[in-house]
Amino acid sequence: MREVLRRIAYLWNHRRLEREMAEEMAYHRELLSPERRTEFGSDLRLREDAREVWGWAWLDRLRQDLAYGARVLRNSPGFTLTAVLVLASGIGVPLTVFRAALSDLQGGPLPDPDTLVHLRRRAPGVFITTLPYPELAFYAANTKCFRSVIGVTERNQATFGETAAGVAPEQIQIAFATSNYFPEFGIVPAYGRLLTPNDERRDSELVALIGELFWQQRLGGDPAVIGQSIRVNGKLVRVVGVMPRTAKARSELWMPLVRQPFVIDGSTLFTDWNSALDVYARLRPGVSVKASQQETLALAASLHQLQPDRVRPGEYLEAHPVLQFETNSPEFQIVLVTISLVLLLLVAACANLGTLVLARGVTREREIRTRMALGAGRARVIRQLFTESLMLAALCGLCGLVLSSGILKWIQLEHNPASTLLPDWRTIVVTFGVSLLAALVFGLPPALRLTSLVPRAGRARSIFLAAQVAVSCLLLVVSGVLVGGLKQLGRTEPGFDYRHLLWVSPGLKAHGYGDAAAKAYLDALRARTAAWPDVQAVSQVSLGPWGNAHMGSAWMGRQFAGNRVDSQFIETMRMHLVRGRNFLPGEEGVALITEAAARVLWRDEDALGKSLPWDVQGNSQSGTHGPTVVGVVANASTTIIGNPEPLEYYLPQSRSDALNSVLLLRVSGNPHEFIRRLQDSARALDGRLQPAVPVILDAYDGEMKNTSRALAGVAILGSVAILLSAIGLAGLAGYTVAQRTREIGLRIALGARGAQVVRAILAPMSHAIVIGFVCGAVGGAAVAKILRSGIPAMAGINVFDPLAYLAAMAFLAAVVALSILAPGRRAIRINPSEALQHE
Amino acid sequence: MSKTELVPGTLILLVLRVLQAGPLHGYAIAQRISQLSSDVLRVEEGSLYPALQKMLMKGWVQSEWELSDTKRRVRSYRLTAAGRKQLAAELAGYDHVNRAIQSVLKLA
Repeated sequence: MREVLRRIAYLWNHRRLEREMAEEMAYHRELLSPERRTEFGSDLRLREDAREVWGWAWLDRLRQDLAYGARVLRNSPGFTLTAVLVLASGIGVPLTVFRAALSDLQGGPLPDPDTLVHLRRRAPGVFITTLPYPELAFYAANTKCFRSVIGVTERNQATFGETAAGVAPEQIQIAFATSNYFPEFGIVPAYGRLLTPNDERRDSELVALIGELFWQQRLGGDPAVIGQSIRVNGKLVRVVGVMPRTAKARSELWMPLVRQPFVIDGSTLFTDWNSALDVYARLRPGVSVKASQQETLALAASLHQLQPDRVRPGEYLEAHPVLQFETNSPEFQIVLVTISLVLLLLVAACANLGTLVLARGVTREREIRTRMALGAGRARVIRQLFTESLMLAALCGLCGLVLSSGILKWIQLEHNPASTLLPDWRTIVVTFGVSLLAALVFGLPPALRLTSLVPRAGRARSIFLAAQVAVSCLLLVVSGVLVGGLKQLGRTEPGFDYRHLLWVSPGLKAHGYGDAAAKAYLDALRARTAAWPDVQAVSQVSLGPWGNAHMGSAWMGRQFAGNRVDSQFIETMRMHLVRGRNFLPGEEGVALITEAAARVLWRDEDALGKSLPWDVQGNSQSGTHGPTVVGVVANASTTIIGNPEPLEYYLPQSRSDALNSVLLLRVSGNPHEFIRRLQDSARALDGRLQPAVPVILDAYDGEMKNTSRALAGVAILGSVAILLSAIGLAGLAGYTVAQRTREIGLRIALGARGAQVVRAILAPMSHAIVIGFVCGAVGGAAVAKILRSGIPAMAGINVFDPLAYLAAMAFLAAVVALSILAPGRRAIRINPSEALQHE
Repeated sequence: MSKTELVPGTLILLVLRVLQAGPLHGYAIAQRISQLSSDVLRVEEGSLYPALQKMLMKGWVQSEWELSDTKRRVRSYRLTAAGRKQLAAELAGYDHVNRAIQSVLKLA
C-alpha cells in the first residue's frame, strides 16, 4: 500500500525527481577517472532505466502510442474518413434502432420487474386474459400472496370538449386504472401529479391525467392546462397531471377505475361479471408464482361456491411476470430477428474495416519491418497498432453517437419538438463498449498478421471479405422477400369488399344495457340507418372486421378465428358463398366456414353437414359435436389483413349477443362521410352513448403503412450494408492494385490484356466472395422464414421467391463490379515503364 | 585479475550490506563494493541507479541531500528499518543457496 502511494507521489513529482537523478549522476561521472567516464554510458538511457523502476513506463508508452496513432490517422485522411464513415454507420444505425425502441418502452424503468405479474383466468380448457371487476375486487380483498392487485382498462370511448349543437363530439379514448397502477409500473408524471388513492374516494373531486401525446397535439403542450377543468362525456373533470407517453399507454385520458360509472352513464361495472379488465399484481416478497397460483386456486373455489355460473370449477389465476418473454412466441422471434439483422450491420462494418486495415497494413509492411528490425518487440508493435485501432474505434463510436442522436432528433421532430435526446450514461457506456469490441475484431487480426514472422499467414482477409458479402447479401435477400410480400399483400383481395364498409359500436354494455334493451336499441338503429338511400346493407355482428378483437378456437395446433353474425353478413361484406346455404333468420346450431378452414378440417371431404370439433364457446374437447356446417364461403380474411389462408368460421347471432354487437354498414360513396351521421343517429336514440365509428378502409391503410415502414427499415439496413460493402471492396481492390503495381506493370509489359489484369486482381478475393454469397442467401432464407411465421400479414410470402434471390444477387454482383471498376481501370492503365521503377 | 560482473540478484544484497555501516552516496557505494572485494566486483552505474530507485520505492533505503567536502549537493542513501529486515532476509537466503552450492561442489 505504502509502495503504491510512493509510486503515485513519484508520478506527481516526476520532473523534480528526474532533475535530482540527473544531478546525482553528473556528480558520479565527475568523480570517475577520465578513462572510465566514457563507460558511464548515456545519461538519458540510464535515467530511463531508473525511471522504469517507478512503474510508470507504460504511461509514457501509451502517450507515445497515442501521439503516433493520431499522427498516422491525420496523415492518411482518406483512410480515416472511410473508416469513420463505415464504422460510424455500423455503430450509429443499430444504436439508433435500440435507442428508439427503448425510448418507446420508457416512461420510467419498471421497478422490480420479477415480482410484477399479469393475471389470467385459467381452468381446464379455458383461457381468458381478462378479469371482471367483481373478481378483481374479490381477489384484491382476499389474497395474501399479492401486495397489490392492479386493474386497468383502456380504449373506453368518450367524447371530449363542449358538445355544441350540430358539431360531432370529438372522439377520445379513456383508460381507467386503479391508483396503484402508477407506482407499481414506475410511472413518473411528465407534468403535475399522478392519481392517488385519495382520488379513488367517492366523495373526492373527479380528476384525470391527460396523455402526453394528446396534451402536446391537441392541447398545445400548455402546462396551464393542469389544474383546469375539461369536459368529458359532458362532465367536468379536473386535470391534475400529464401521463408520460409510453408504448403501452396510448389513451388520451387516465382516470381512477372506481370513478368509471361517473363518466360512463348507466355503467354497471361494479356488478358486471362480463366486464374485461387487464389485471396485474405485485407479489409479496418471497412469494413464488407457483404459490400465488395455489392460493388463487383455493380462492376461486370459494368464489365458485358463491357464483357457480361465473366461476368455473378448477379455475385459478395464472401469474405471468410482465417482463418475461415467451421465448417461443412469434413476437419474441421477430424481436430476436430484428436485433440480429441490426447487429449484422455492425458485423458487416467491422469486417469491412478489418479488410481495409489489413489491406492498408500491407503498404505499411516496410515501416513495421523497420521498427522490428530496430529492436521493437512484436508485442510492442502490436500494442502500437492496436492503440491506433482503438483510437479509430473511439472516434467512430463518438461519430456513431452523434449520428444516432441526429437521426433520433429528426425522427422525433414530427411529434415531439421538446424532447431531449442527449444520450444517457448507459448509451455512452454501451457505445464505447461496442467500439472496443469492434476494435478487437477489426484491429487485432491485422495487427497479429502484420507482425507475424511467417508472411501471408492467416485467413483474416478471406473471413472479413466473406462476412461482409454474406451480410449484404442476406439483408438484400430479406428486403427482396419483404418487397415481394408487400406487393402480394397489396394484390391479395381479402375476400370481401372493404372499401365501402364501416361499423358503429354504441358501447351498450358499458352503459348498463340488458340483453333485451340492447336488442331493441340495435333493431331501432338498424331500422333508421337501413332507411337511408345510400346505405346498401346492414348486418349485426359481434366483431367488426379487422377490429383488433378476436375470438375463436384452437384445434390440432391451428388457430381458427370466429365471429357471430346475422344472415345479412355475407351480403353486407360481399363475400361469396361457394357451397351450401346462408343462415336462416333465427337459426342456431349451424355454421359457415371458409374454404381454407374446410380444407384443414376435412381435407378433400365435403364439409357440408359435418360438425365443427368445438362448441359455440370455442371449447374443443374430444368428442365435442359443435355446430353443423351448412355453407362454405370463398376465403375471406376478416380478422387480420392479408392472410391468404384464413381459417375462419361464422356462427349465427344468439339472443344474448346484441349487448356486445356492432352494426356493420355497406354504403355507397365515401364511408368517412357517414361517421358523423351515424354518431348522431346513435345518440339520438340514447343521448348518454358515446359511439365509435371505425372505417374499415382506415385499418387497411394503417396496416399497409406499418408493413411499408417495416420494409423501409429493412431496406435502409440493406442499403447501408451495400454501401459499406461497396466501400470495402473498392478499398480492398484499390490497395491490391497499389501494392501490386510493379507486378501488374510487368504483366502488361509481357503482353497481358486488360481482362487478365483484372482477373489477377480479383483472383484472391473470388473465393471469399462466393462463400459470402452462398452464406448470405441461406441466411436470408432462414430469416425470411422466421418473419413469415411471426408476421401474420406475411403468412403468404414465398420464402424461396426466386425473383428476390436473383434480384439480390444481381444487384450485389453489380455493386461488386462497380466498386472494383475504378481500381481496375487504374490497374489497366498502368504504364509498364513507370511501374517497374515504382517503389 | 580482471574485474568481474556481479552475480545477478546480488547487487541489492551488497548495497544493503554496504549501507549497514552508514549512509553513502551513489559513487561511494560503487567504490566501497569495489574496494571491499579487492577490485574483483565492479558495479555498473547502469545497474546501480535503477537498483537504488527500486530500493527507494520499496522503502528499504531513504535518501537525503547533503553537502560534500567540495560544497556540492550530494544525495546519500541510508538504510531504513525495513531495509535492515530485507538485508537479514536476503543474507539468510544467500547463505542457504551458498551452502547448497558448496555441498554440491564438494560431494559431486
